[in-house]
Amino acid sequence: MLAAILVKIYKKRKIDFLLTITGLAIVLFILFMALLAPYIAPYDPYISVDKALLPPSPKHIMGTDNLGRDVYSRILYGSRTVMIVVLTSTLVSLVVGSTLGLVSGYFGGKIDRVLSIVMDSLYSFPGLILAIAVAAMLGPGIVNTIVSISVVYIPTYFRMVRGQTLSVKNSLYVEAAIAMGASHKTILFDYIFPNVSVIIPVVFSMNVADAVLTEAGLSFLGLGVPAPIPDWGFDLKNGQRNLLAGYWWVSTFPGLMIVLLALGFSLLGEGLNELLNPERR
Amino acid sequence: MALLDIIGLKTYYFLPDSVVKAVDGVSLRIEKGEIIGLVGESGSGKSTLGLSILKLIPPPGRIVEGSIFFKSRDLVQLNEKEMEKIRGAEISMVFQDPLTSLDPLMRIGDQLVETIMAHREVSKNEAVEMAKKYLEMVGIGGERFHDYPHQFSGGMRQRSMIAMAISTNPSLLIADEPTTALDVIVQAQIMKLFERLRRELRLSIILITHDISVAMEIADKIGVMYAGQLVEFASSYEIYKEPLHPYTKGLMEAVPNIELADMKLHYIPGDPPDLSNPPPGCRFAPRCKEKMEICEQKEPPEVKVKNRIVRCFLYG
Amino acid sequence: MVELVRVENLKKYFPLEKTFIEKLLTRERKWVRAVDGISFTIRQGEIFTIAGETGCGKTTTGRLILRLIEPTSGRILYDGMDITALKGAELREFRRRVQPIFQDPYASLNPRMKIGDAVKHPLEIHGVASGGEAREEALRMLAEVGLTPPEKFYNLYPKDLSGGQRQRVAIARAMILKPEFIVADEPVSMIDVSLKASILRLMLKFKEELGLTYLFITHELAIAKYISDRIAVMYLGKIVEMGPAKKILTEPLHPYTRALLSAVPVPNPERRGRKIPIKGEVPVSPIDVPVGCRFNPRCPLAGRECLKKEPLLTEVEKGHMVACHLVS
Repeated sequence: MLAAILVKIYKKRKIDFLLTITGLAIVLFILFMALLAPYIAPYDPYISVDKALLPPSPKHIMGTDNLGRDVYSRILYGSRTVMIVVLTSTLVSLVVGSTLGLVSGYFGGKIDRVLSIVMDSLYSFPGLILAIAVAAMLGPGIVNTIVSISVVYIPTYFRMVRGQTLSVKNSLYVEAAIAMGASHKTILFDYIFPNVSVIIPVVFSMNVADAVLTEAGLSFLGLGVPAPIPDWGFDLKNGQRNLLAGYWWVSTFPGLMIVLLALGFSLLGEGLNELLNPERR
Repeated sequence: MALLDIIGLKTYYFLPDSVVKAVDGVSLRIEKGEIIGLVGESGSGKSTLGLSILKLIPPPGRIVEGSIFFKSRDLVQLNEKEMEKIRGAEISMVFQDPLTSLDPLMRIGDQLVETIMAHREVSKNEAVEMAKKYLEMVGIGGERFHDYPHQFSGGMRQRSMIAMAISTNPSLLIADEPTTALDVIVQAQIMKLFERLRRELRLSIILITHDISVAMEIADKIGVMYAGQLVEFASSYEIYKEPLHPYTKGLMEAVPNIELADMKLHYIPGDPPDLSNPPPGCRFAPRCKEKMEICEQKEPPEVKVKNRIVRCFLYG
Repeated sequence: MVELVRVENLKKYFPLEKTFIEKLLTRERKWVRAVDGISFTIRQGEIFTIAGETGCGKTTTGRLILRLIEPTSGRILYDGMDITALKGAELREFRRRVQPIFQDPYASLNPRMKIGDAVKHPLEIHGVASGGEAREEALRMLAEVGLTPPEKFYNLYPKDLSGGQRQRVAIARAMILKPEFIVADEPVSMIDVSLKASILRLMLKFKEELGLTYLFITHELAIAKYISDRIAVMYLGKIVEMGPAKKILTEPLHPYTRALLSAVPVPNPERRGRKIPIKGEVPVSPIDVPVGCRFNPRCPLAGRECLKKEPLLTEVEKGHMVACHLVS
């Protein structure tokens, strides 16, 4: 199936295809890093293995940090943290936001009013600020980070799915289903959801890139994943105080990884968007 | 010399995985002051043919072969700049939905004045006078000159589009389904208007329509299109009295006639072919009642029967 | 003949959307009187046609009878039951007995549902059949509407079909429950001329087989002529003339019906140059309907009475009713 999608994109526009493939490659690469971290990491990322702040060398290809931990090993393990947090939280917001959007758009009335007002007010916050507020309330921790990132993206799914539901709800085929005697459940699951769901992967792929940055931002501010756990955002901040003294490797590598992963997801998302957006001829 | 002489025109759409032969070898001739009805069902290529004459084919479509002689000049050979001088000036077009062609934020009168001043060398005052005259001609009183399009009914909008189309004094008007979105009474009024304009301005009109009855109401000659080709071209009377092509025969039997007493319902079985992969031989063969062996092997040529044209093996 | 549907003084007003400024300035609501007090009956086994131009209220009437919208006032009795009062199991029963066919076959089928699944869906909704049995029945229906081989069509999606084929699917779906009454809203107006008759024939075939009754809604009088038993002509939310199809189409009495008939294009060049006895158009929006007879601004014969009093639909001969001061 993937091959078929790729061929389709390739035929449409070569440049889009190349960008999508690049994005896919980056994401897959980091995903493998995360999966294989225990096998390919040369050192334990939690403990000091050498002198502090050693520059990159054959022994430590990305050097060591201020506590003598191997930066390369921390990067590898850090990819696990970012993948788990980002994918789980976008998945949570996808499920929660889409369900609420579907229900709200389909049934309308008071539920719809209340939900729309709540979601719109959440949406009006800048993403990171909202995440900070929630994270500050909940305190650090992996689960709490996931929750605070989820809250940021729930309104996006809600709005997209609700809007789509409203337009599908008024379509003739839904009217036909009502006249046939279909129940609300049948109409929702057989008629509305399949036609609404086409937009979800698009929103998903767009949000993931953003979530990467939000996760890094939270950790950078110390509101994300707690201390010894390897995390790019945290390591970025950790290296920052020694940056001016010339120890660039401690924060540069985590920083690059954040950029790389966000870029990978963006490119992939753009490509999928090109493909999945229904074209009107 | 005919006003418009289309010879062997082919317009194809080049899609990523196929080539749609929307117009595939059409020849057609229109004299001055003539009304031609171009009739066909959805996907027959009639609209593409209309757009081809003005070279307004949207990409990925383009004219691949043939000539369109208009006043002895081959439009296919002209560049975009030369076409702009012909489009809207010497050949005008009216579309199905007038709302998409009218500027909603501009008064009808002003739009007309603008069109006139763009194509004719007149002063503002003269243009206003002319605009009023043309609105009068299509049956819109001067008191509506300052109205906006949304204040007009569907029929009035189409009338103002027609006023705009004739205000540049064209010799050919292409009307693509001009009454399809309108009610039947308004349709009849618009048809009467076309008839009058032809008489008063010696205008040639190509009326593109899916409804052969509408064409029968005003057209001198009717061209029947099927799957990208002109299958029959003859006077309306001949087509009514004695259609030659099996498709035209089927169409005449299928079209409801409110004046006939007997209640027969005819149709042509099957569906039109896929234009990116038309059947070998005659394109109508799979649906044809009078199909012969040769019809499925060779494409029929255009045959002249007296002064009519038929694309069918039954006639040679 | 037994009457199956009775419509009594049916009205449907839609609130008019106001602009923001209007909302601030006035509390008064304006209404579009889409259907404004119509009464008729449909007899068992007949094809009853509502004909009229854009905005006459014919589609709204159909939707009211399907109970897709609630009437503003008036009653609709189906087989003696007031359908606006139906709930729960009774409503489901009504939905099983009455089926729609819509105008636009491109929009009336779920684009994400396979043809076969769409056709058998009513069976599952009403618990008539499921699984293999439902599949068999759907295949049989596909074959019956001429989509052969049915196994091939079963697994296609609407996008793979032409307009005519899709309308056949919609008919198969409507007929699979063996309904009694069909509301067909312009079922052939988007179908190519060469295929219109095939769809109409299919509808007639099922009428024979199932003993159906039809409400047929159309703007094409020529099509109405081929299949109608009785015709009601609507103008601006009112029935202006109603009677046996033959009478309406050959000896129309209302000036509007006459105008409508003379405007129908005829595929015969020898019949050119007929006069259309009226001018103007249906008002842009039927909010401010004319006082008196609604047709008076366009009527060539309008007299003083027409400007003051609204004419009532009265019987002029057996079964032929007209709403015109000049006739009755």
